[in-house]
Amino acid sequence: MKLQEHEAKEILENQGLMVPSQELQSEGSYVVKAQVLMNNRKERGAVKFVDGLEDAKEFKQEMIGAEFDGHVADKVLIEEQVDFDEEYYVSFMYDTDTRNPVMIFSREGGTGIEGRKASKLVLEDDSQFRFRNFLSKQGFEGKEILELGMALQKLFQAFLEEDARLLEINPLAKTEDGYVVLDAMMDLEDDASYRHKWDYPDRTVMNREKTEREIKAEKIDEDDHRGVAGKYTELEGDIAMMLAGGGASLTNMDAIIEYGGKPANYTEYGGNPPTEKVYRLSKVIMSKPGLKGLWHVGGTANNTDVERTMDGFIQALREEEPEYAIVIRRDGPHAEEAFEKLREVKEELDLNMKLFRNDKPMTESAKDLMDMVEDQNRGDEK
Amino acid sequence: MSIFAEEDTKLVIQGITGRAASEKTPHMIEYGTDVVAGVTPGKGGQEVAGVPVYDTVREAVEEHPEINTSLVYVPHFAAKDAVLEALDSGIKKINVTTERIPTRDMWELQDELENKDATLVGPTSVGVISPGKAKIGPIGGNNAEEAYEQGKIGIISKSGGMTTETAQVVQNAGFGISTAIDIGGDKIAGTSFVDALKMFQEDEQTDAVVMFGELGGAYENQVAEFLEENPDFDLPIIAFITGKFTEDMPSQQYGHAGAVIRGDQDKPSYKEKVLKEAGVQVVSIHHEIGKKLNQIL
Repeated sequence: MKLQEHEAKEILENQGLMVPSQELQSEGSYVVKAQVLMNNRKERGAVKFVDGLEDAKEFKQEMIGAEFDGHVADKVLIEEQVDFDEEYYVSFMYDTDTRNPVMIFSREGGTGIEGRKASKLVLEDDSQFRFRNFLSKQGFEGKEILELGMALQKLFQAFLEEDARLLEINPLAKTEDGYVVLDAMMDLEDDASYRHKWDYPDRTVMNREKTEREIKAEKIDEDDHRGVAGKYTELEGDIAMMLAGGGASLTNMDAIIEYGGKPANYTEYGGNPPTEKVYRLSKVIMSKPGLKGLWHVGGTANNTDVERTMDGFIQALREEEPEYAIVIRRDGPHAEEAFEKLREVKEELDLNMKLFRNDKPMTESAKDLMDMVEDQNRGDEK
Repeated sequence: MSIFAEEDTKLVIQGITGRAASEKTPHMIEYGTDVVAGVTPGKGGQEVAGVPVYDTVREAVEEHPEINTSLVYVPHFAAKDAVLEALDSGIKKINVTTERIPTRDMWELQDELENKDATLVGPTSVGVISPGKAKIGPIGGNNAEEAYEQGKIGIISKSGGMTTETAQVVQNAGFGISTAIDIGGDKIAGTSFVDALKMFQEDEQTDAVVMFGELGGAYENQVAEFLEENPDFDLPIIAFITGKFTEDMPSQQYGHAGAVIRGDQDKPSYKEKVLKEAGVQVVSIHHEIGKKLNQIL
């Protein structure tokens, strides 16, 4: 879960790090910051520097509910402006290359960090000497090595203890009083939530409003937790995608594009969901206007009952009676029974539908669908 | 020969009394895997599909000293402890089915695995199968005899479902499988592509390896580095990397760490590029794996 700045700062303050004061007096310089989950807020108008509390409050009012590149600010933070000598970039994340956490550090933090050089420190544990050695190599000297080293160690400990996937401080400012976290991004690992008392309100990281169909699909998994059938992302194309299995879904998206198709959506169902859930997902997928084809495809299932899930899809076919081309390629437990029912509905409704089991390579059936779509287009032109 | 799952595999299943594990245990036994014991703390004395259940791995190993492999099938909050328990009892091969283990737990296990010189496959692994010899985990379901034919192609996959589908494509091209191994797609994997390739290199039965990779992480890129550093590695490799379409989808960047440290390196197109440069046969559509095998073997 991605945390907003004020939530991340609260965690870091509890860890013993310094953050800017939120105590407000009438005189003074302030920073007003919209709490939105996006990069480069300053450039996008979501951060303002002002003098005097009146102005700060005025900006806060303006920002609440305002939209920044599609992100709406529900909360706005006012902080004291901090004078600093230098600003550093620091982040922590797990690195697959070394199978360890790493720290990424740059002496030149602040905006534009993507383009600048940064150094990587592989962390085998949270000992302080590792940070001191690193800083010494970076050219830091004397007290800096000790004090900055301690701040970095505390940040790393917060990263570990909170089970973060990412902790990014940009910048960490060097001030007269010590090192201050001016901005913080923290992404917590949902898989570790069982050992934490995280209690954060719901948030979205999409920079567009969810579509009506996406909201409907989300409800499917909320209403019934058996299996997954509620992941649906609407795209701009015209080939409806009914995809089973995680790895297979990615592979089939790539395949349809390779054969010239434009997916109307991305979805994924699996984990043996009940008939009703697959029915609802099928209805969502078929409800998009302007479809030219539908591909219902998955590998040879290990767990998912093909008859039970296909029953939901067949029910949707009966209600929608699509005229566009349909290709189904699926196999697994009770596939025989499922395909018998599919043959029945095909005949009954006179559907333009081809049926394949696993003697047809999965991704090859994308070509069958695209050939059918082309034939159909040619027919329409005549 | 074959790798990890072998003729002499003697398996203990940790978490055997759980719903999924107890359902999958008979499939492994029917396939011919020697499942000699199960462990669930508090359920010692029970049986699952005729397999005796013990409270601790230590007891299981004392009663059945032939145990050489553990299948970890416990809930995610208990997984790290279960792996440590297996290591403490001297088990050197561990396959972890469990999904959603916190990354920190997997990291904290790395040292102990190294100290004990043990091999962990997973987490989030659907299993390992060496056709005709043994199957560990749910891989191939209850129909593994049909899904996997014995042969000389090794499969290393990050996706469970696509392990079986990849075997299908290999078999349609007229080849069989030496071992298919699902290494899982987690950030910190016990066995990487390179680790598995090294095992296949030692295996006389394996003549070529098929890799199924994904977006994210660097394990695919490590194969390119490994091949460049080891010019005498002579097993032909065919690779397919899934998830290219995601590169054209609008991404929601949160933080700069990825861009600063990795650039494009975790994207499928980058992985394809470095693998090709290192001499790997990269196919862009999954079923072309079959054609490619026929071309090179």
